This record gives sequence, C-alpha cells and structure tokens, in this order.
Amino acid sequence: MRLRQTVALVCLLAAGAARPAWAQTSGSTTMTGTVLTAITVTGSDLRFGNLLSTQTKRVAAAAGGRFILTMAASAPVTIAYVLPASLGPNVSLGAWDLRSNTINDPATGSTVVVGSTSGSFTASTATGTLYLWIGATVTTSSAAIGSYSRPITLTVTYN
Amino acid sequence: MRRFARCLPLLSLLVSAVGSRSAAAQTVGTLSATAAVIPALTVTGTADLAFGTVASSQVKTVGPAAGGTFTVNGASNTPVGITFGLPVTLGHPAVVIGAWTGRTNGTPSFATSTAMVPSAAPQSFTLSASGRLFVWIGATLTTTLAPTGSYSVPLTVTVVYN
Repeated sequence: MRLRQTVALVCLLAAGAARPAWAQTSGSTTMTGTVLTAITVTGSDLRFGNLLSTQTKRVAAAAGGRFILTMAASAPVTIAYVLPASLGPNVSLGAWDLRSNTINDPATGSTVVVGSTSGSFTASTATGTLYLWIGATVTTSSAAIGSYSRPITLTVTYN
Repeated sequence: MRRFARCLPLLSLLVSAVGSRSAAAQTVGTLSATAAVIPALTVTGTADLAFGTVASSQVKTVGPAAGGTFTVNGASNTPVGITFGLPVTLGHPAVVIGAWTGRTNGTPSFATSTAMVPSAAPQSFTLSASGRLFVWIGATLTTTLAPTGSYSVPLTVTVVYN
C-alpha cells in the first residue's frame, strides 16, 4: 500500500517536470567527453643496499628508483607523490631527488622540486611516456640490524 | 508514470558514467625504498707472521699454514673487498720480505682453504653464512749481511663491504 502511494507521488512529480515542454520552450546542450588512454604506472625500487648501524648513504636519482608512466600523448596530468620519512626506527630518509624526462635518460632530465614528503606537480608529454627517477639520502643512527622497506606512492590523474 | 520509467535507464547510465570516470582517470603506482642494516666489519690478527731466528744472510720461507692469520667478521654471505698493506722490509734494508702467499676460507679449516695472492689491489671475497672469513698469510724473508737484532713491522689488512 505504501508502495502504491510512492508510485503515485513520483508520477505526479514526473508530470510536473514535463510541463515546460508543453509551454513550447526548448533548449539543448551538448555533452562532450574524450576517452583517453588508461594511465599505467610501473616502477623499480630505490635500493640503498647494505648500511652500517650508523651511516649516511646517498643514492642519486639517476641510480635510484624509477617510475615509468604511460598516458595519452599531450594530455596534462597531475602527479601526486607520497614519500616515506623513514624506512623504520632510526633509519631516516631525506634530501629527496626527483628527475623526469620523456626519454629514458636521467642525465638529460629535469629536476622536480620536492618540498616535503608529499606534493604534486603537473606534466604533459608529447610521447605519452614519462620517466621519473627518484633518489634520496638514508641515515642510520644506531639502527638495529635487519631489512627495511617502505612504499613510495605515485598517483597520476588526468587533469 | 511511463515517462518516469523511461528516465530510469538514463539516470542509471549517468550515475555509472560518473562513477567509473574517476576510477579510470587515476592510476596509482608504488615502488619500495629498501635498505639492509648489517653488522660492522671487524678484522682481528690472530697470529703473527713469525720467521723466527735467521742468520745474517739467509733466505727463509714461511708458508701460509704456519704464517700469520686474520679473522674477518661481518654480515653473512656478504661480499667484501680486502687490501693488504705489505711491507717490503722488516725495518732494515738488509731484511727484505716478499713473495707473499695466502689462503682463505669461510671456516677455520686450512685444509679446505683456497689459495690467493695478497696484494695492495682490492680483491673480492664473500663472507661465509656465519659471516666469517679466515685468511692465512705467508712470505719469504731474505737477509743480506743484516745486523744482529730483532725486526718487526706491521702487516695491515683493510676490509670493506662491496
């Protein structure tokens, strides 16, 4: 019974909504959309290798981790990054070094300013491929012996 | 009622289109930052390379088995580079030392050790599963009208992680 009441009310509203057409008013708008190539992000790790319990070691971007982004050519994207502040207790990370290039060559790439452990920048490539290299400095301070690992996350969005 | 029914498929189409667009337009990728903290290296001289008593003019060889020994401790199964600081005399020009020989092993067993030639150039070795490397050193001493006395110089070994 309650269902029937609801149906009746909805029909009334629908009829009301249709009334402007009877007053001979019409309008149109164009809905457009562009289907873009799906973005892909693949990566290889930023490896610091072996460290002593108290040590500072730098891995430059060119020798560090690498992301490869594929996307629609010439389509602007926003690239948001989240960097770990440490790899674990007494194993801190800092002095991040980020470089980008449209070809697989960090030497001729551009430096991306990294202000903090999270941020974003925009990019657009004519080839549809973007390479990002990432390096950093790790500092151990009486760190316990063991293996340490933390994720570096990149989120790429079409603008 | 009929018009409303016609609207329903359109409405659901719009909702699904909006919902799927944001998912397809954004991609998340992850890589890892990794490091391993390993124990510091230690090198201990466990036996001197002793030539004993020699005449004023003599040639005497002490093989690695009876020579000086070093023990290296560090991270298990980890490559290290070793360089030797080898003296050319025992502190007097008439007491010359050379023709260095050596052997290494991951266990204290000389019988199963491997021959190597000590040198100032870095050589790579791998620490054992227990993180150890044993090094035996021998050499040949040549005295030529050497003054009577006792002679001694340090023989240094430098070990670094590769």
